[in-house]
Amino acid sequence: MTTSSACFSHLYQEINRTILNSPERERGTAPGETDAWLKENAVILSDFNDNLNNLAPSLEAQSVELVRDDAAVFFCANQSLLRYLQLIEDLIRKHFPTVQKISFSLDYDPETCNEWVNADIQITGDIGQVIDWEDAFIKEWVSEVPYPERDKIRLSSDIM
Amino acid sequence: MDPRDFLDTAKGLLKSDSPANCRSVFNRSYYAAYNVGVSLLEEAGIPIKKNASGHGELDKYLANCGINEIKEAQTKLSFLASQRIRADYRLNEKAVEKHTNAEKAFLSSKSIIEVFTQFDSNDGEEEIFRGVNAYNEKIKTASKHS
Repeated sequence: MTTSSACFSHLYQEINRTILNSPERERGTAPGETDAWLKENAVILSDFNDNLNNLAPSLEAQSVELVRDDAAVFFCANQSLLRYLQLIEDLIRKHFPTVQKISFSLDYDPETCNEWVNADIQITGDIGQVIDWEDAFIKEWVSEVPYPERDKIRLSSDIM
Repeated sequence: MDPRDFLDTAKGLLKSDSPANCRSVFNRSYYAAYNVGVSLLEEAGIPIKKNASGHGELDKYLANCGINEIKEAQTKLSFLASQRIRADYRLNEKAVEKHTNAEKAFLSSKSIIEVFTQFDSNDGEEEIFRGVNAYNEKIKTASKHS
């Protein structure tokens, strides 16, 4: 699923469709559990949608390209991380003024089988500047997000 | 061997901008910082498993030791860990083949090690031990009540 900053009015529907149609969900959830799972996540998704709508004007102004793959969104919904996905987008924009693109994708460690979401950013700037931005970002990320949740969404920068 | 020597290896690798060298910088930079972190915890009296689960243990204890500088260094280490996985296993990923990004990984590792080194003293190790101990007690109490 690819969304630009102009497509926020459709994001809630896209996330909902992602979760409803997810093959992982089909495989891993019994019919009786499905309704409860949906009810629980409907509140989170609704809050997420509200937050995105509030954020949309600032995103439009910055013209940041945003890419979220289905697996990353599903992982966040399943692990109750959607609010932190929202937060990390916000903090990236706040701390990395030259960010051009933000991409979310699911990744795993083949040695430990741990999974997390990569928040990849493409930015311009010199290395020292990017490290300073990242330090400020990490300070706020650590103060706002508890462990182990903060370990499940990881920033990675690509200096253009 | 002092794990900081891996950082010297990473620095040497940065003399070339070949994709293999850049990818290897991520690997050596991560393991330099990881092993300095393991040494710090072990010197503080907190054993870390010598297998793949050691990475998770190190993260858990550093993240829950109650010291902000260490928590921030752990977060930076976990970012470096995911880049290391890409550098070692995802051969279609181009960002880890760029010299600029490799240099940043080297500098990130250096700054993580600087933080760990600040606590590499009796007082620092005691502070970490107390923090991790308090965390372990909290987990034990919570599991008794559940």
